[in-house]
Amino acid sequence: MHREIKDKTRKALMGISSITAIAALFGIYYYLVKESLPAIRSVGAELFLSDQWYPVWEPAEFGMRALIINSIIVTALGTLIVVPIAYFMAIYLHGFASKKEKSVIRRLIEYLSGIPSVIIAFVFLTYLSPVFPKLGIYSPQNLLLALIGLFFLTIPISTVLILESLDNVPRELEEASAALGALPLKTYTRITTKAALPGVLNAIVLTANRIVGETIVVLLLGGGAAMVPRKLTDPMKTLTAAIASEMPEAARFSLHYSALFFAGLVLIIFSTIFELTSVALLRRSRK
Amino acid sequence: MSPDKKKLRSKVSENKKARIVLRTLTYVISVLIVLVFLLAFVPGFKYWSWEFFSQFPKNQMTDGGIFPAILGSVLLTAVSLVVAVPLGVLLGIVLSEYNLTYIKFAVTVLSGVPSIVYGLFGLGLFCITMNMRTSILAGALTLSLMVLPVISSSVYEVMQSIPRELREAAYALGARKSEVIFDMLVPSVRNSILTVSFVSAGRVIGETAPLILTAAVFYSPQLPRNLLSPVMTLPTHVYYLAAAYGSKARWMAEGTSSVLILFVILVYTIAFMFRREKK
Repeated sequence: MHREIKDKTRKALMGISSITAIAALFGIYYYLVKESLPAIRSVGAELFLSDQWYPVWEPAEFGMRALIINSIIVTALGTLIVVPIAYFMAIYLHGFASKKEKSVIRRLIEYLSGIPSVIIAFVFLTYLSPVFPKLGIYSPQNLLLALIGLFFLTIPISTVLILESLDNVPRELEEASAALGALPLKTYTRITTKAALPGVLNAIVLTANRIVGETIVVLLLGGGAAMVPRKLTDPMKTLTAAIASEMPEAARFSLHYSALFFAGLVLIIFSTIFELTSVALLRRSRK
Repeated sequence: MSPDKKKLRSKVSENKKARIVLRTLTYVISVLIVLVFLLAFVPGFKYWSWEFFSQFPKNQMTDGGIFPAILGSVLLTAVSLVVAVPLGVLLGIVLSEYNLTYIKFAVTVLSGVPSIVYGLFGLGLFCITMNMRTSILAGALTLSLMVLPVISSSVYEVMQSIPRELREAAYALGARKSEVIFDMLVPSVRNSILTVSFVSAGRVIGETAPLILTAAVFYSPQLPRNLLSPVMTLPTHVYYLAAAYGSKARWMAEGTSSVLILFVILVYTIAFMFRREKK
């Protein structure tokens, strides 16, 4: 009897945890849709079509095209800078580094990937941002500074992910390539990379997802102008930065509040697409 | 020398050059990462004192200490782990021992959701609908949802690494599935589960964005009375100081960021201690 009760309790507990996960996912989507409905109803397609983001003006404007484009620009450029460097570091650590070198650098990187993003933002705001005006750049916080901050935030995790997928390639493949006369560089960049491709692509997708959702670095370093930057040194604001900086001041259930939930809805759609791509890639790599 | 040999020799030297270039790149980036770390950690040292750890901020953040922020961070982390660790471990077990694709799907999607979106959800559900307002409880529940997928996928990995024979042996003795899991498998990976918990504590303690929406205030003249009070925390303190205060408060931001890093290092060191013990 005692055994029976124990069995039931444990099953119930596992059931609760499963329900929490499902409920959390549905709950998040439900709330984001529900709270953004007023904005969708009264602003409509202008949310996507207009660059005029003046949420506290009279009359207020809620065009978030610039915010969405900025999120895409930051994600695309950030990934484009981080991934190649992470890839070459991973190639070095995978193929060329000595065992000791590899384990030391890897542990170092893993440890430092735990630095909170607010601290990375603070360091660049304090030490690098004041340099820009001295160079004749009008905005001390700008797209470039945000990209530099994002680089340091994501390079550790990106490198480790790519390294893991390279390390998972069977040794025999590399030996076969070497036996055919290919030198190490060629083996690692052609044969190993090709075999590890789904894993490498997965690392790219996860890096992009990390960048699109990053808030504090972009908020403190980006400069906060709700317009599409023309050049790297222009200030800009992303969806995440708009939510974090404006929500504390937005009146509850106002149109502004609702529009910021809509920004969250756009973000979660981006991240869901990234995660589903990653699942598909990992499934392919297992085959 | 034959042309073939010449070609090979030039290829070999090319390979050597590539090696040097890659090594330089790796070292330069690693050194830069360490430099950023040092810039965040070292300048704050000199402000460490008993007053800095035990007092409230004074005179527009130009004087005093960060006691309320330390207390707030510790409270928030503790409460969110109390909720998230049991749920996350159970969820990880379900992921590993029962083949339920829709739960796997939910956890995967959740693990990619940006933290600021968790903040929006927490604001809507906990602060407003459940009327917790800006409070420790609302922030802790938001953070615990955020780390739930992190904990459960790490526990999943840990459970997957247990050899199949162990399960089979337990079944052969007539144990039920729940007994195999909780009396056999879980005790055998207890240390790894502790590691996972402390790593997630490291994640929680540095999180800023969701707390701005759900739990943190700029400045609070008194300590939190209960779980429904708003708090100051270390990461949001750094954020507010950096965003809104001038150079006169910079010392406090430096001091706070070094204390925050100290906490993160402490938590990770404890986490890896459990991992080493296992070996």
